Amino acid sequence: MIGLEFLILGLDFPQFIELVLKVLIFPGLAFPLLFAIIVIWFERKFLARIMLRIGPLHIGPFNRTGLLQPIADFIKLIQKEIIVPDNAHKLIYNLAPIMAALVASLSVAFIPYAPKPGGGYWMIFYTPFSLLVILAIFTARPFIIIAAGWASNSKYCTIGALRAALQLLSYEVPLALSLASIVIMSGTFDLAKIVEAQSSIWFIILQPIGFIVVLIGMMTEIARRPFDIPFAEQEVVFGWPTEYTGTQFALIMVSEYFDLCAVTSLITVFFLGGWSGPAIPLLNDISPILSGIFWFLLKMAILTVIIIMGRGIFPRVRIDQLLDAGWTIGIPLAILQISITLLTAQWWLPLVRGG
Amino acid sequence: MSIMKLSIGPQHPISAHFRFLLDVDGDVVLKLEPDVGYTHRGIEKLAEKRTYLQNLPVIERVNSYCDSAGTMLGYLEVIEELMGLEVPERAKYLRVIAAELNRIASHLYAASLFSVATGLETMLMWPINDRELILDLLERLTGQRITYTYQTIGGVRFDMPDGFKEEALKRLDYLEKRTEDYYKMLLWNHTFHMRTKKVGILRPSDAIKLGVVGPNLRASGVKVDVRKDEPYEVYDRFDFSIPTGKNGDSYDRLEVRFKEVGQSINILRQALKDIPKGPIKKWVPPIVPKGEAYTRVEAARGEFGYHLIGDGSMKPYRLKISPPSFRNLIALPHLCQNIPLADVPIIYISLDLIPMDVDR
Amino acid sequence: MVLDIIRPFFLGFYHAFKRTFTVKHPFVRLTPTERYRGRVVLNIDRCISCRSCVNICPNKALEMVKFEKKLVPQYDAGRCCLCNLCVEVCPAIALSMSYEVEFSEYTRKGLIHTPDRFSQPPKSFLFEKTVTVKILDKKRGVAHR
Repeated sequence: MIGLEFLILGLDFPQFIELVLKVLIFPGLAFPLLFAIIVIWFERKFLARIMLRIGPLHIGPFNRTGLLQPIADFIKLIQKEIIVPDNAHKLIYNLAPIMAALVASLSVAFIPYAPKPGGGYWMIFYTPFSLLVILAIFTARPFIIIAAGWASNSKYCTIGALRAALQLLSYEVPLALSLASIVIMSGTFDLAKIVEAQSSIWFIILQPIGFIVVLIGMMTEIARRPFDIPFAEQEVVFGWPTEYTGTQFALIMVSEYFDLCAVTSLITVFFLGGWSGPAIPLLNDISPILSGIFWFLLKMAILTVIIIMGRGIFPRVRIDQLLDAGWTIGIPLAILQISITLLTAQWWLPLVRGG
Repeated sequence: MSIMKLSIGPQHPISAHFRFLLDVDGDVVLKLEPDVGYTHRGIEKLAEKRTYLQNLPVIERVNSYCDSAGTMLGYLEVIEELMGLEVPERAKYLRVIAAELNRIASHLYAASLFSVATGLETMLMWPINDRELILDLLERLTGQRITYTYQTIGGVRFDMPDGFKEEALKRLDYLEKRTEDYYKMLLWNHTFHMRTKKVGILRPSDAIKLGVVGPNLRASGVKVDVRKDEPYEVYDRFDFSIPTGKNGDSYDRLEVRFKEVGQSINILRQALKDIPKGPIKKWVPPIVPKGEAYTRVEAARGEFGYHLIGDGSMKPYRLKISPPSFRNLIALPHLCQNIPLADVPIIYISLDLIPMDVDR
Repeated sequence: MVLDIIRPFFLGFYHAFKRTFTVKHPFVRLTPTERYRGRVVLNIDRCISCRSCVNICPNKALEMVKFEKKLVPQYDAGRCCLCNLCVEVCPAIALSMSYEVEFSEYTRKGLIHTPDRFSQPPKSFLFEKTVTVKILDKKRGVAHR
């Protein structure tokens, strides 16, 4: 039957294999899941080391490293009963975690991870307006959160959901403005072209202010520690997902790490030059794609460590302080970056557009 | 305008065996109503049914997991005042050593809880780790980690073990150095300033009017310390200062505790140096004479008041305990008016209340 | 302000590569100090059935029962607060404290130590792998090792 399927898609057999590989293994399904599992383990272990603890210990190979702890937690969560509160809106309540995971993993489909030798990029779906698509996907998230918080019919959930909505909506603006200066510089909405524009110099050197605004904006979007106000456990027990149990909770947890995966990929694409880097001899012999992916993943890993560090060293800020900072510092900085970009055009143009 | 009733506790990550009823309008807390009584154990009544000696393990559980040595000191003071008993010198020094070590442990615990209220879990673990050193010292001295039953009527139960002095001095040196890390991580952290400065300001006049005691009162700038004002045991022989705060906000309440740790280290060094040789315990009759007595001591959380009425038997007729957490609790509804919801845990933890202590 | 934000980063990284304070507990245990007070142990031969321990106990953890034609105390570990008063008061030095602290049971009844169990020597874990708290280096300080 496999033979028929790739005929319907209009692809020949190698193309079909490539599509399956993309959708199921690398940027597709398996990669964010693996990323989530590794990052959850690393986060617990790394934060534990900062706190002078040991962290997960018992499960997994290699002399009590607790390597399989996230998988064990996941299996435990799947086995648990799904409890729906009495007065909850059943349909929205059950739909929200699935939507959250879906939307979170969706943006990975539009991110180019490596160039292919014969032209084209290693990504699931190529579109010349991928930056716009990703911004559109990001705007969908507050509504899922509000829906989940409202449908749970709990005071903590509602407060958490409203906080999340405020936070996400207010940080869309500086984020979009900072990305505008990237678009100005590279002259395209295509993520792959943005990476190619950085072949001589990375945008982090040309736009340091933009990088800081985007990093903080993205951390706010995915609610990591200094900005994890929607989940503030000391105030609103666990924020909007308080009432979720079992598999639904697992989905929400995983969706957070899908978001982290997408966000680190995006910052790598925007500022750190994506896959660019010297070719690794051993990997390059197998395929030049692997070399590109290696550099991409390395940059992602560094960003992930920086983002995770926030949880170990910063207290949480208050919601009004965060919103104030977003409107009074974030937006002016982003506008400043745009003006600097415009004023210094004659110097960066030959560097970026290959002058 | 709609007011939402929000109940925090007794099962909530930040409220330990305790409940507040909040009136919330949007993100603003209009009124906070504490609901106490979840850990009421009737210790005052229990004390009437047991002999003075049997009361030792009971009384120290008024404030068990933090400051049992300081709590116990007040109970012994009041009995010894009623009996007119003079305790051996060495026992007095050992009592002070246990109480001051326990004060350090308690303040470190308070600091770790404070940082968890702001959401910084690293500083939850670091002071708890270093508190472990102090608890180890206390374990060497008394044989237990939390509830010591170390001081007894007429002295202390065990003498200082060999090598205790050197080990204690070593650990105090370490702790003094370690405080730098706390300052770098927590007290100089810009985000922490944003969260705690100008939050929950308790003015000196209000603090005195409400009857707030202990480090919370000193953080408001009022220089009151029972150890200085009415020296008990051998506190008049030590050279130490009373740290006070300037603004009386949550940040000052934490900083005063950190400075008090420094002063406790100071006292301990002097006590370990000056400690005389001699007996550690005096035989006392089990019967306390008829009469009334009131004493107050400065425990880690503030002033402990004990009022004892003896009827000439082996059991107290009435023992009234006035714990510091109960007095500081009054400041909580006063401070939680028209503040953001996110500040409630910080103000609550900055007062360093223990629900067990509130309820007895 | 910038320094205040950057400093914790370095401090956090610095601590991430230091030795942990906690130990892998079930595999490694901490050595109790010599004065540590665990479960009370009875020496039946020395007991003179004087009831002083039962009288002094604040929590009524001890109770006199008949055992081999002799009245000896029976011990309820669930009530005991390890306060050492009974050991101090015993005129015949029949009671002593051991290092044993791990006496959890599945039932409440299992916590009651009848005289023959009460008089058994404690399960000692001192022969297993134990570690003590030491101050290692002056800069970072402490670890169990």
